[in-house]
Amino acid sequence: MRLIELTVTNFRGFGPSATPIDLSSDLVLIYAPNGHGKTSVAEAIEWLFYGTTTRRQRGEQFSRSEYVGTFANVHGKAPVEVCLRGEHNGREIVLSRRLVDNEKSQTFVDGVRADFDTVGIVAVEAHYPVVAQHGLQTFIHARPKDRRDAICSALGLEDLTTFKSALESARASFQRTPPKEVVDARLRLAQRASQLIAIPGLDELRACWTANPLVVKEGEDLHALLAATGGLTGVRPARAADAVELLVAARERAGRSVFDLSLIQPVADHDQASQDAKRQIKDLAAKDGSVDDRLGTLLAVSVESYSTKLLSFWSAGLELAPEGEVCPMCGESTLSQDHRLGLRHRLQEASDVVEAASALVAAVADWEPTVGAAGKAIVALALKGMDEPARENLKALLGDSEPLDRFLGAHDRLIEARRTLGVELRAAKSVGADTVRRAGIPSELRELTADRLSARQGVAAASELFFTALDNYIAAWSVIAPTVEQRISADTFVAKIDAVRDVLENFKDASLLVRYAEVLAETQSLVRRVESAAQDEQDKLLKSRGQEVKDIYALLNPGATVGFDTMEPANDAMKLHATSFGVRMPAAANLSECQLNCLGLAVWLMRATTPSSPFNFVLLDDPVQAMDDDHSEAFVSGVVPYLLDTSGKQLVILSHVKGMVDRLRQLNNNRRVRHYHIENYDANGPVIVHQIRLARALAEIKGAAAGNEDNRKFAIDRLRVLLEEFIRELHLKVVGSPPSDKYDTANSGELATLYRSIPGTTPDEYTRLKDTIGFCDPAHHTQAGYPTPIKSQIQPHIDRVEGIMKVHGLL
Amino acid sequence: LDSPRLTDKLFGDQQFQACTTKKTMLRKDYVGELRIQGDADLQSRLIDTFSKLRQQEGIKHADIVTRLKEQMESALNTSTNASD
Repeated sequence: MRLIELTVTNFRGFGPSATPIDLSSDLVLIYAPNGHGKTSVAEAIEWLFYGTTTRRQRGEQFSRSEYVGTFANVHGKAPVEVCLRGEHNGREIVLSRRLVDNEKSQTFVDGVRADFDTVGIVAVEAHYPVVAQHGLQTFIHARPKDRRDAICSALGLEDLTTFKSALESARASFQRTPPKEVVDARLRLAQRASQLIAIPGLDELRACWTANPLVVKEGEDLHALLAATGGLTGVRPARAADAVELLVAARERAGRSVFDLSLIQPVADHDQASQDAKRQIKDLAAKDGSVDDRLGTLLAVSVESYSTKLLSFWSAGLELAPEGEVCPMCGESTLSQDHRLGLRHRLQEASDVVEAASALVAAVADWEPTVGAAGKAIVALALKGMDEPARENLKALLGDSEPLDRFLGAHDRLIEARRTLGVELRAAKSVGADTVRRAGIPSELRELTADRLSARQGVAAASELFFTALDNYIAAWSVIAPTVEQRISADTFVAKIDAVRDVLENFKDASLLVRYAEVLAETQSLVRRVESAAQDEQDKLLKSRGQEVKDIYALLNPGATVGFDTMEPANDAMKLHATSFGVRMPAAANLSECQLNCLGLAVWLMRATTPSSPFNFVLLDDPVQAMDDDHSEAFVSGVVPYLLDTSGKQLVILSHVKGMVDRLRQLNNNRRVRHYHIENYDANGPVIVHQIRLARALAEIKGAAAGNEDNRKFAIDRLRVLLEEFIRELHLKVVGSPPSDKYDTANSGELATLYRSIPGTTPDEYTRLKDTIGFCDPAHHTQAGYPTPIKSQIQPHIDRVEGIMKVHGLL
Repeated sequence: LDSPRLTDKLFGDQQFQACTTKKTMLRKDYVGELRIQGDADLQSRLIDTFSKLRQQEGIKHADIVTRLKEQMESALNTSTNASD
């Protein structure tokens, strides 16, 4: 990308006038005093390609708020836009960036919204084409770490440095502000560890876990806890889960020595057990009803006594005598046809009875297990209950209190209710078991029905009482349970068991903290790997590109005995070395400002001339600040040709040092040079004057023409010189090269002939210029009696020259 | 391939592809090389996360830091379970 024309509108120091600046030369020189907008030109180019500026990036590190909204011109006009016409890959394109709010901007290619990437302009740090005056020494006067990051970026390693920087920040944040789960785990662990008092082998663990910062050594800590478990239980477990089981059992044993909780403690899941028991009682009642239904059916059918055996006997008899009237039992002819039919009828009736009896038997068989199941469910709910010594022990443990009295009352009522329910269930079982037998005795059927009703009602009432008593007991227990547990736990041995078990059951907290430390370590390891990779690449690149820095520095300091020596990369740092008469010393601390300026310039020029850069130009903003005349001359005569010829760059130099600008102009007469002067600066921005040398000369001539005789003579002479310079400039502009060597010593007449050969000039112009050349001919001045022309005679010639220069765009 | 539509189907967003290719050509993928060396799960995920984020135009440094920290937080759940 080479620059052709830049138009800046309402950006930084530029106002709304949007005057295009023609940059279509190999060397563009822009001179301006301080505060006239030079840096705004440089920043416009930076912003166009990068969407920000180095000045802005640097400033935001210290105070973001001071820099917000400062891309726009302070006088607040819109649009804020930088537009550049350039040549890229053999074709002309127009790139522009427009601010859409205080901070964000949009880019356009040939007037269409698009990223510059789409035309192959990828702006990366390693190709930065603008060498900003305020950034010259930032590389040198920086922390060694920042210096290293800067050189990494300059060498194209910014991905690595960005990654490393982001990793370090993320890790620092992860360490400084851990996730809530880690914070909570630390608190819980410290709290639990504080309970591990006087347990052999756990003193170090306790000290580490209650320290700040808390230190967890997962393997060692677990080993110590397992060993402590062995000491408390007598059995050395292999795993945490085994240890917890051992401690639970040991806790129960130890607790029993204080008070046997199993006597009064409700079953762990008493709610569920209570629901199961209620369901069993309900099931029992339902099946009881089923038995009663069958019993009712049996009563409803004939109760004429035909036992199963008798019916079987008769049926078998009939089968044996299928024909004839002889009875197989008595041998008499009693089985008449009518008799046989009667017998068959009675057998059918008896069969209904048998069926009803069978159903009853089945219902009883179905009912019977439910009595056992209900009994078991009640037993599962029950507790052993206290005898008198246990009762006294509990009183001694808790002391007399109203909650204890309520609990003891609830305890007694529950034990009694359970006993009553047991009696009722056994009675029901007894009646049920005898139901089938008694159902076969017609005289007992009525009494059986009454007994069954009584048993069922007994179970229902007793179970209701039992469950009520159980609920009351649970409520009373829940009031005293914490106190009972506390008193038992107060026992030293029990407390130790509890403390170790608590830690082991929640060892996942320790594991989490270990994982947290691992994550920090893994991230740190990656940071080191990134660092190492950056270091290796940097070492490689510095061997080649570092030499470029040294070469450019040498151009600025030819033959110096004191100066820059090497850049030495170190772990996370970059040292700059200088030499003084062969002795090595730190560069930043010992080199002069001028030498440091040279070094900074050399580093950034190395970056700007990176071979893969899409930018075929370099813009230098005040490059010779702090340099003396010799260094400035070295820059003009050494570095500038290096950039123009060796690197093949288009060069834009902004400077407030007029002598250097003039010298550059002088040394580059054989090149296409464009020279601007920012004459003034007002609210609309810099006032840029083209080809200031000719304009200034003309202004000088105009002033002199209005003066005394000597001044008028001087004006006429300068007008001739101006004409000659104008013809040379026009040739350079139109033909593209300065006039050939033979015109180096040509007089005005010969140059007028040259003028006629320049395309675009007219014979009339030539004639008029010849006339002015004749008017200015110094030969007249020596003639005797030559009257020095007055202003009115000189002015038409001045106007003529000015007009022709304007026609050809040189004013 | 003469048909723009067919090219679109084959290569997706041409503009994006071109942009990515040019960047790759300009910058050596040093971070990608770290991925090849790394085998630790967390490290691989951190590298992958960064590699994806850097493709995003205008991504802020603070956002990259936040996303890397999220990866570190999620790595807490892959406990070593020494207590087992």
